[in-house]
Amino acid sequence: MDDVVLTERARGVDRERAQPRRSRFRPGAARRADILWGYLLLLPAVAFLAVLLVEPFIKALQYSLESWDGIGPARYVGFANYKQLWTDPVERDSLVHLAILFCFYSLIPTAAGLAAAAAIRRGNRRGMSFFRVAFFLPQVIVTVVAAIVWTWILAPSGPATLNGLLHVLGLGPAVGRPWLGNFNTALVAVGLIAVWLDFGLCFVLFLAGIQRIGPDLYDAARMDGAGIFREFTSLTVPLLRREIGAALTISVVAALQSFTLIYQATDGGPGYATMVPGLLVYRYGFQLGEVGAASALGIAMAVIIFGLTFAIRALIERKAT
Amino acid sequence: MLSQAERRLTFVVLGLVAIATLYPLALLVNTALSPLHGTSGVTFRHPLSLEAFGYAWREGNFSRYMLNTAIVTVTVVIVSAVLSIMAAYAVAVLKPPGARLVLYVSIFGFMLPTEALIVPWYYQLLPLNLVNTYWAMILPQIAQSVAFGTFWLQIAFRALPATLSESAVLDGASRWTSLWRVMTPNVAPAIRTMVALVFLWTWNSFMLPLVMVSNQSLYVVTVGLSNFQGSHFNNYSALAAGSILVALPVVVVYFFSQRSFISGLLAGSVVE
Repeated sequence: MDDVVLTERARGVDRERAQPRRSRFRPGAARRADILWGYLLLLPAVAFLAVLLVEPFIKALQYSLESWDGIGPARYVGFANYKQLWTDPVERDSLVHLAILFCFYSLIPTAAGLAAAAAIRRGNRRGMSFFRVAFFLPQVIVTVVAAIVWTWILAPSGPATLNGLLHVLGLGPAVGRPWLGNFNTALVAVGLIAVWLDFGLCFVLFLAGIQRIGPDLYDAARMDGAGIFREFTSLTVPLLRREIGAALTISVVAALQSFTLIYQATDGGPGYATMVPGLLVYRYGFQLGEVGAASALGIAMAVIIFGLTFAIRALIERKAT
Repeated sequence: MLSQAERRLTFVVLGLVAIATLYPLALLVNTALSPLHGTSGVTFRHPLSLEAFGYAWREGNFSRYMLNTAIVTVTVVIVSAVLSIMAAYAVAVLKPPGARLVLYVSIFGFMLPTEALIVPWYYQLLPLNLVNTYWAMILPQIAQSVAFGTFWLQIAFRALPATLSESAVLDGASRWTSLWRVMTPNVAPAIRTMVALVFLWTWNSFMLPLVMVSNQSLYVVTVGLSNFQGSHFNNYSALAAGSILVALPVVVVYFFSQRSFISGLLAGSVVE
């Protein structure tokens, strides 16, 4: 459809303006040049997309149905590698950990970001640009760096650590523990780093959204007697659904790609307490010679990303109507 | 009505959050300024010294890692920007048959996580003798960035009035000239956003270079820093100084292009 309309328009323009000047701008010639140039300009990008995204994706699908150590002959095993996703306890737990990390990467920062943005709208605007810059900063800190400094803060003891702070507050013996080294707290501790990483992103998105809404609606709501809570649930949240969708999508993708943070901060430990699918892809694919299992996990991660992205979109759009 | 108490409470809570947000970064800077081997752990009070930076730069090999990351990042940014501009113009303006398919493939490719592709990438590049070269880090990231860039820039090209490209062509300019002289300057903000994001992603990338390169002289900053942490885990000041060297370029770019970063991160999620 689009193409037909464009051609019609091009024809009209040709008649009006081009014909007196140049006969080579006959209707078909312009469109043919568009097509030729279009393909020429697409060629390099398409080559990259085809060879380095589409082909490897198909290869990953193929590997995921095989048992292969990366060197010897591969053997077709059907869906065994996928079945392993829930029969193998380490793989299953890694998916459970991923679900828990979604809360820390995604839900908590979104909720906290909404609350903070709403609060700053109600309060005075003094220092708003400072908060915006400061809260966003973790997003642009190289992940390996963030992981290193957080392992210091979550270390068992020392004046600069979280435990040091708890000690000063008199909570040391009761609450303090080696956060990243303890089986029960390691995943939550990683989650804490994730909140630190993603809170600012959500906050900045929501603050921009609230500024887009403008103060008029809020004034009207106040005239109607809406309180803080009512204003938040009936005005801020529904009007920010586009931003909420964006924040959820970005942070869900970040949670799936927690490989760098986990590799650097805990390497999946203690034991498998913080093992996530991304780290298992690395272990299976490049340390244990289980290419099939690594590929099945990678495909599963892709499916989860697509599924959640579309689910979030559907949710946001249903609310819109 | 807003009470004074509510305002104060808001300010105090936000202030505490700001402290929690900035504390790790302050700790990093403070530690980097401590003397080498001067402390047995991370401490607040110490004599100031810049020697840790020199140590990280020379003995820690960060000069080499920075150079490698710069080579990879600059190549990925420039090549992917040029290819994305060309492809996005074709998809949005010239619209040859099948262009829509390219758009769908680029959206699909942009959403694929590195984790899903890393294994086939490795076995694709291994027989070509490209593993353990810059190419193994550059080529896959160009593909990922072109996927994002094509999707992102075609939105910007589509928003331009159709007459802009038509009149340029009618004035005798070839489509090539029209693209670079007329169209591209008009989508400059979208290009800036793309460049800022691709720069951030490539500088920050870890899994791909970790897998593809085992030769230490080709390490990029992220892998180099991770490796340095393994061998110098209790040399806190050198580790902090190295971390700052690694993180600083992105922070500087962020401060100069805040708007681009934020609008880009928003755009990255609004897949149509």
